[in-house]
Amino acid sequence: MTSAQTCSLLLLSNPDKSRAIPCEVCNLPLLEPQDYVRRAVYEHANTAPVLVNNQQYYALLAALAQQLWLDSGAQTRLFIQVRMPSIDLALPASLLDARVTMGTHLWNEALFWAGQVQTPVLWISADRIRRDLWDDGDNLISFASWNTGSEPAIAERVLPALARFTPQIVASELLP
Amino acid sequence: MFTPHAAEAFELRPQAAAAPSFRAHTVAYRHTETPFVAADVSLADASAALAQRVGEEARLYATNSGPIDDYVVTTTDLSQFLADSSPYAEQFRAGIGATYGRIPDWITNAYECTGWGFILRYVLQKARLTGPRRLLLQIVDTDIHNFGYWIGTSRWGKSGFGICTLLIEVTPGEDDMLTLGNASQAHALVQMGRSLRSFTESRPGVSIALPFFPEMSRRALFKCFDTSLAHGDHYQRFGHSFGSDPWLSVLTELDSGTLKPGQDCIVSSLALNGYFSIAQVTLAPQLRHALEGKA
Repeated sequence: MTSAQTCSLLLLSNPDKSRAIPCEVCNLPLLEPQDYVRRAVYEHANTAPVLVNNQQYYALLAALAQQLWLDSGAQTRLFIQVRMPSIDLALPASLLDARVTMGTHLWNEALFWAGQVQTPVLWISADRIRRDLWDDGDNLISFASWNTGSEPAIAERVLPALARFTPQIVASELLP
Repeated sequence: MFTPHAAEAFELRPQAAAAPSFRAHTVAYRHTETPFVAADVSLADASAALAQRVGEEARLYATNSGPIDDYVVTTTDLSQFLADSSPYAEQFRAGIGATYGRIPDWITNAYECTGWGFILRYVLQKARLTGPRRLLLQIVDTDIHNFGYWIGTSRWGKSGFGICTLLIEVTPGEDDMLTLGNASQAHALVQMGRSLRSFTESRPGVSIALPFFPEMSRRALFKCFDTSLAHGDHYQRFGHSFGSDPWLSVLTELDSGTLKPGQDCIVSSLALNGYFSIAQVTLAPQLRHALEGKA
């Protein structure tokens, strides 16, 4: 297992800016007045902009997966940390692929694979991309990679999939 | 419908060994109250209460059952605050650990009701590297917020909430013990039915545990495959209990004596977004099973 390469990118713009798209700030249907009360209790006073809706979020993850398989090889295994899936919006087929595991607290799973195989392993923290008033996210997406070789750097590997979000490289936090 | 890409992606690599891929040593379920907590209970307290219940189920049914290699929680309707990277989620995991003695390795709500199938696929992949693995898998579906949506809709009927605890030995073996699929919402029921037909045709005599849906959906599913070995309809008793449905079906059939430890059965779940999981599971001869605490 190689040591981890890491990077963090701050997403600054909506990928479809200047186009009209549904805002979809809510991903759970609110059916009764009390539901609005329940929801309001946990809304964050968060100044980070909501840059993507659920569909754009899934598209971003799918694009990242395809980019990484293209760049690092089809054997690349992905661990993607996500927040609650949206209701009534299916994951793209590529995210249901056997090479992808989605959930939370996946750092140790990525470490396990990085130590077991010689092929690339990527851990992606995509759970801070803000989609919803409940999200405490700051639109930071972080990556750690193992067994990828030192060149190119991990940021260069993922930037093609993120270009439309105007990503800004920031100091990498580590991480799990 | 399967896309060619999806079908290719879901294919599991052939293996030579013939041991059962999935042997269940524990199947247990306990329902949780609705609402789970009063409206004025804080998120932290609600989380702690649920964590205690989840950990207690793990303690009851996974202690003294041998080593656990993987401990995973899957859910459809668990609060997103308990299934993300927030401090609430950390407290939830820690609360489980305080009761059971071990925190879950990871939690997922990405796959909805079919999460158990995707987790079996993943642990099977690990087992191909390490040899057999013992998986403690809990399906936790309790909405601490009590949103109206989760209580029930016309799409799946009334809901049932609770905690399912499974201890499954995952052995690299035959590659066809698990089928995962992905169809559009509109065609998911029929596509799952067709996959059930092909899955069951090569397994004569093996009973079939199905998700619990209202009668109309069940009828549509039943048009697609030979249902002579399908378990009884337990929707009226349990409601749609998300990913726990097939395991509740197993427990009910065990109670009635129509299914016995040592036998195989087919378990299946369907997610609202069109994913489905189908697996053949061997019930261990010494299976620990409990429905509402009663063995």
